[in-house]
Order: sequence, then structure tokens, then C-alpha cells
Amino acid sequence: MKKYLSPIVCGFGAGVLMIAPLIKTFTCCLIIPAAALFSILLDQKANPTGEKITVQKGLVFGLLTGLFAALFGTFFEILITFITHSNDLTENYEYIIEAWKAIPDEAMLKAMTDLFQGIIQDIETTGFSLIYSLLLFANHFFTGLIFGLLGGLLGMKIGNTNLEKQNEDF
Amino acid sequence: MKNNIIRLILILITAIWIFGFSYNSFFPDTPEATALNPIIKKFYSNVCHQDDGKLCLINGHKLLVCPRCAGIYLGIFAGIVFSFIFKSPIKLKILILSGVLILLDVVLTTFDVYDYSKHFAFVTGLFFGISLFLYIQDVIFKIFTRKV
Repeated sequence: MKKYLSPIVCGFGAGVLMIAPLIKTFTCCLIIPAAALFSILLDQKANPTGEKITVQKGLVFGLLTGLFAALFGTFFEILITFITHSNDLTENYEYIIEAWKAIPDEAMLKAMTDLFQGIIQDIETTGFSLIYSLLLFANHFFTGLIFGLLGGLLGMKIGNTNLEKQNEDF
Repeated sequence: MKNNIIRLILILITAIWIFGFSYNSFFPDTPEATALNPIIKKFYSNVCHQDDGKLCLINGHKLLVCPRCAGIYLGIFAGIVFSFIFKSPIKLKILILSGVLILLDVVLTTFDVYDYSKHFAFVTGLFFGISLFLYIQDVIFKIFTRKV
């Protein structure tokens, strides 16, 4: 567990930043790659073995950071929804229903609208919807993995470049 | 040869991703695009703030990501295409420079030194995206050719 402390810490940080509106405006799509990058550099600082970071390690750290960011991001969003009994879905309810009226298949439209109304009702009454939470996690998970992998590879490359520089100076 | 196949696969994946946030502009006012919009918008909200005032209009429809993110993704796409020509990775300094440009733009517009410009945000994102792919290209090819 201690071995993967830095992806947990950086994933937590990214999870917090993912739901902070002002910070999100600044950092945008760079939150998770930056978290993955820092998790590798942090690990390199904490455990200075002097060995090159392998691609496997870069990928694993990137994946884990993305996964933890998805977990924490989802958790915080569910928590805020639970406290406020509202989120972007409830706020955009009318816009979504209006957009879905364009669906030509009536049976499909009814199924989607019923499902959506059930989610909205759950959120407004109890503050929690299992379907919404699962969809939210799947959504965060997918992007977390892709962007985490990218950040992991970048961290590995930068970490190794730094190491080569240190060795040359030495 | 193997690297070129990997490049083509990456081009396809990136093109799908880019199509995802811009499909509404290509198929405006079709029932499918209108119906899918809320779902896909929510999906891309994970990776972009989608601030209404900052989104670009194409064919009268807004992209689902901000100009900076659109620039980064298009930059990665362009980087993959450029990697057919520039086969060795670029220096870290260039990547850092492109990152600093984004950071400067964010800081200076936040503190109202100058007004937010969609064009500048897009160009800085584009430069960063191209640099990012050209910097890590060798690692990506190593993964697929199992030279790890």
C-alpha cells in the first residue's frame, strides 16, 4: 500500500480539484494528467533509488492516479449532491427533457424519460441515486484512465530526463 | 512500418475523441444530435469546465469543450500526424515552454491584464498538444512494440 501512496495522494488532490468550480476553470483537462505526473515525480523524490522509471511503472502509476481521482471525484460529487439534494442534472432537467423530445422512437423516449425522472426524483427526495452514482463513476473512470495513462507516461519521461541530468552533473 | 500502423490507430482514436465534442456542429439540428447532446455534454464535463461564455461556435453550434481543450486535443492529433515526419522526440524545454504559455495566459486573463481570447487559448492549447505528443511519442511506440 505504501508503494502506491503517491497515486493515492495525487488522485485525492485531483478528485478535489475536479469538483472545485473555480480551479476547474483554470486547469481544465490537465488536472488528471498533472496529478499522474506529480505522483511519479513525488514517488521518485520519496524513494530515490537512482534507477530509471520503467514504462510499466509509469503506466501503473498513471492508471492508479486516474482510478483514485475517479473514486474521490465521484465520492465528493455524490456527497455534495447528498447534502444539497441538487446537481447539474436536476438544474438542467427541463433542457434535457426538451432535447430528448427530438428522439423519433417513442418507446425509447418514454423509457429514457422514465429512467431520468426516477433519478431526478431520488436526488430531490433522498439526495442519492444509485443509477446516477454508477453512471457518474463510469464516466469519471473512463476519462480518469485515459488521462491518467497519458500523465503517467509524461511523468515517466520527465522523471527519467531529470535522472539523466542528475547523473551527468554527478 | 509497425510505428506507422500505431500512428494510424492513434489518429483514429483521437479523431473519434475530437468528433465526440464537435459532432453537433457537423450534424446540426438532427434529432439524434439534439437528443445525444445532454449525455455527451455531461461526459465531456469531466475533462473541461464548459464555461458557456468561453465555448466556440461552429456552424452555429457550440463545441462541448473550451477553445484551450479543443486546441490540446487537436494538437495531439496534429502531433501524431507530424510524428510521421519528426520521428525523434522533442526536448523537454519545448514542452515546458508550451506549458508555461498556457499558464501565463490563464494567470494574465484571470488578473485582467488582458481580456480572455478564444483564439489565443486555442493556439496555446494547440502548441501544448503538439509538443506533448512529440515529447512522449517514443514511449508510446515502445509500449506497442514491447520494447519496455
